[in-house]
Amino acid sequence: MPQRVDASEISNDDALWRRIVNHPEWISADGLGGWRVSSAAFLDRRSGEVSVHWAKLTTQTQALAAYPDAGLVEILAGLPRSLDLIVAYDPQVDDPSHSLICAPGDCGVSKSKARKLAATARWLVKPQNIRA
Amino acid sequence: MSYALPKLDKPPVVESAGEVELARWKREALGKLAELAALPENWDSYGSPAVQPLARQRAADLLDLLGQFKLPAPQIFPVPGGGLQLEWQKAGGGMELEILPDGSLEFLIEDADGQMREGGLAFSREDLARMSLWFTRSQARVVEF
Repeated sequence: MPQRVDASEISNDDALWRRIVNHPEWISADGLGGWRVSSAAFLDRRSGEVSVHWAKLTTQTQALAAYPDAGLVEILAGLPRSLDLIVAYDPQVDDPSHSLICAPGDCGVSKSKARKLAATARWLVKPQNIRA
Repeated sequence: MSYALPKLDKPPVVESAGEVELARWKREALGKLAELAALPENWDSYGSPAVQPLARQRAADLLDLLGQFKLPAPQIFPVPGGGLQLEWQKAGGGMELEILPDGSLEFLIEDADGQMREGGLAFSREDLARMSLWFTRSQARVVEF
């Protein structure tokens, strides 16, 4: 895994978006009439790095273009940093907004940090099966 | 007039409501595991491999064991990378058991104050009983785990 560096060009107030698939479901009722996202959505046991979109460089339509049934949640870049995680800019040919949330070194995002990210994530677009 | 009693091959099984409920959630959970095991690669839209057979088998074994501890039905989610996660929520807290792609286990508990504890977990009846007991106690604090 390449050594990641925190991206100074991504400010703490910048929004990061993560797709939430429609099937399989990554959500459950929160008991208050809403839907919570599982911490599983903010884990990755293959690379340890969680892919997100830097919202400044994309749109909701683009982020969901290939996955129109998926949802989209938002966190601010300052949140993972406050948990001692790194926000790395990792543009791809087909996605210039691609960025990563990862831990320094190669330990990956821990369960407790993934849970905090998931608990703070705000819905922008809900997955198809729970859209009103 | 005489009445013949019905002949039974086996003694009748009387199941309590709790046993019926347990059988129901185990059946549903195993069905969910089968559904998640059939997910193709890239199911998460970020390139995840499919759920690994070892993780699925371990999850099934885990459900079997957890059924002994009077836990409510877990929610089951796939984890990017090929693993699975069982989750239980209650007011202000919760418990997660993650089965990694290689079959190893990690746990997390959170109490109503938002305090969390996490770590590796042995696949032992004692450890799982301790976690289950913690979760089913009302107002349990992480420091008491």
